Amino acid sequence: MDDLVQWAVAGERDAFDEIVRRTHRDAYGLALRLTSDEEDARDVVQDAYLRAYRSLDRFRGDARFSTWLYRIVANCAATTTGKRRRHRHDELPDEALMVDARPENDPAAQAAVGDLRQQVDDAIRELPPRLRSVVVLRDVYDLPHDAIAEELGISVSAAKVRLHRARRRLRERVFPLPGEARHAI
Amino acid sequence: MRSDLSCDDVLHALSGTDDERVGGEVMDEASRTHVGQCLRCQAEVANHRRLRRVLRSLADSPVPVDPTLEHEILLTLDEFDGRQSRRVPGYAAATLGGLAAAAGVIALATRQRRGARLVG
Repeated sequence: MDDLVQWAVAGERDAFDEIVRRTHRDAYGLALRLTSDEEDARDVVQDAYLRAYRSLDRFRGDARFSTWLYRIVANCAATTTGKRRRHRHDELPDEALMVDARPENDPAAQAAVGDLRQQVDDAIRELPPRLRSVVVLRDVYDLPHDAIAEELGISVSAAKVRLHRARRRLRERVFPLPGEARHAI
Repeated sequence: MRSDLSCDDVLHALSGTDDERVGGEVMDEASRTHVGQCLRCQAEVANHRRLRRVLRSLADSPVPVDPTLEHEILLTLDEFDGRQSRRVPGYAAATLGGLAAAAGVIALATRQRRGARLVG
C-alpha cells in the first residue's frame, strides 16, 4: 500500500485507481456510519476520493494513508449532514439484550456478539449526527481528538464533551441499568 | 469504607476516559476504591469495557457495498482528469464474461448434436 501511495503522489493515476479499489469499502463503511444514509454515503465517498486525488501532493506521509482518507471522509460527511440537517428517530426493537460476558459459558455467545455489534451499530445510527460523528471517528476509527475537532470544525474540548455524551447515551441504550428506561435516543 | 465519590461521579468519569481498558490502571485511586466496593459500578465498568470493544470491532465489520460504487468513483476521477472513460465496470465485465461462456457452451453443444445427427 505504501508503494501505491508513493506512486499515486508521484502522479500515477493507475496507482490511485488501485488505492480506490482497495480502500473504498472501508471508506464507504465510515461514510455510512457518519451519515446513516446509503445515498449520502455514496456521495460522500465520491466527493472524498475526488478531494483526496486533488490534494495528494499535500499528503505528507507522516500519518497512515487510511487515517488521512478517513479525515477527508469525515470532513465531507460533516458538510453533507450539515446541509441536510436530517435527524432520524426510528424506533428500535424493544427487547432486552442479555449477553454472557464469558463466551465459554454460553453456547450462543458467538451469535450474541454479532447481535450486540448490530445493536451498537443501530444505537449509533440513532444518535444525533453531532454526537454520532465524534464517537464513530474516535471509538470506531481511532482518529485523534485534534483531527476530529479540525475536520468537524469544532474545538477539541467540544469534541471531548460530545464524545462523553455519545458514549453515555450508547451505554444507556445498549446496557440500561435497572430503573433506566430503554428509550429511543 | 467507601470513598467520597458517588456512583454518578464514577459513571461520569467512565464515559470520559480515553482508554478502552476503562478502569484498572486508568482510574484514579478514589475511583478504584469506590468501584472495588460498589457492585453497581463494577457492572458499569464491565459494560463500558464491552461497549468500547464492540465499538472498536465495528471498523472491521464489513458493510454491504454496491458493486457499482467503485466504478462511479473511478468515473468521477476520469471526469476530473478530462479523460474519455471507456471503463467497463467489474461487475459488468463479470456478467459479460458469464454470458460469453454460456454462449460458447451452447454453440459447442449445438455443433456436437449436429455432428452426431450427420453420423447417424
